[in-house]
Amino acid sequence: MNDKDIIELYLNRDECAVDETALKYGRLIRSIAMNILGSASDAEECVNDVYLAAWNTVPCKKIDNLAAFLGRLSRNIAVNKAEYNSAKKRSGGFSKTLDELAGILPGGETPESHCAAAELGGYIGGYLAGISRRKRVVFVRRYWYCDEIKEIAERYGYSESKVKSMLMRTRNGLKKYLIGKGVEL
Amino acid sequence: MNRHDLFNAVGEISGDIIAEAGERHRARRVSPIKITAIAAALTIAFGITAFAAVMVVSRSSHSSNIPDYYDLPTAETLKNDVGIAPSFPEEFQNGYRFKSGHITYSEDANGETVESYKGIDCVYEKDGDEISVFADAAKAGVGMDDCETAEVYNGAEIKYIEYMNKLVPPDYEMTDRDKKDEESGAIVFSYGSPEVKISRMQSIGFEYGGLNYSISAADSPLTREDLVQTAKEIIDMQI
Repeated sequence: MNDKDIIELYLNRDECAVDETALKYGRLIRSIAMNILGSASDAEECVNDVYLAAWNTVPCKKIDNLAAFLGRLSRNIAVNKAEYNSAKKRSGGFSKTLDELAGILPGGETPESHCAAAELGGYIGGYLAGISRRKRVVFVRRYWYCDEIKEIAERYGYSESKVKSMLMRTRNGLKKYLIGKGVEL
Repeated sequence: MNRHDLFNAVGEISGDIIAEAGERHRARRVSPIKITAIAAALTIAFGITAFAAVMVVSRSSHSSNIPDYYDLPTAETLKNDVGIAPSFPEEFQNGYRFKSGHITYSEDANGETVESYKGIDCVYEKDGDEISVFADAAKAGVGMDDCETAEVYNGAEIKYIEYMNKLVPPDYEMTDRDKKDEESGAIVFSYGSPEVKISRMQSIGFEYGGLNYSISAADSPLTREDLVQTAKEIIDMQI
């Protein structure tokens, strides 16, 4: 079923919407949750939360890209769960991803956030749009889909060291770009 | 700002960029196969890469890893989603059954103009072997004018080509032998595979009812006659 028809099912409050979502995007949602949480049982819980969130929010949103919308839900729900687990000392591989990203913060972490996530996301998107497709997809696979380095290497046929090096260069480039744009981090 | 804020901000990047990274890294599917088949045919024939009615310098295609269709889409559905309305069988007479459908996004460029268009790539499977059946409405046509005509059926010239294809990683560096093989047309190179793999490729192409169709198979037990028969079945479905 195509995305338009699935969204129509949500709008009509037809419960088949969840079945069709699971059929088409269950693997994507589960994979993101699993990458962040590193636990099958936590990921399964997250997947169910995504279906519930989709049921509750799709009718209220204008959705251009259903895969990205569901992936974002999975990412957000999994991150909240990972933070909870972290407080309980049960975090998965997610903390490594965060550690890598932390290098972009010029002055290290500060208690106050100066830039809203959506605004900063716009700047990051602007930077990514200007770099090569190869670098962009590797960055997005790592920090949006939260893929392991090994998975990215296998997906694109690169060595793991090459992926690490591409990510480091992209992060450094992003850092310079954000500083150049005067973004307060 | 802390690491979580930054992570959340990455989560806000646009859906187009996210979708791009979600695209499957295709190596066997029909579009690259089709392109390399065309390139191979023309390189062999003229030593140049070009297409039939409209000169095309480059053609690029991509589609998502995640199928757009798990059930066979009807012509009406395809008309709405892709803008073309071909009909495909649930199962070919040789037992290959519809497995998944993927909308493809392609661009043909000739240096001055670019034509962007969608297509539909249907995967059929039997006993683990897959073939791709593809349709689009590119102005450049199916681009196999100079390939051998296997048969003319209901006015459609069914073209056939067979060649060796070497799938290689994106950053693969060609050896001297590779360069010679490519120059002579002995092997066609396609990029995007995680590992090096040499395959025997077979491709059928024809134009019918204003649409371009191609059927591609890699290391398949199907013969040229089998593939021509699938082409005839597709033509029969459009009548």
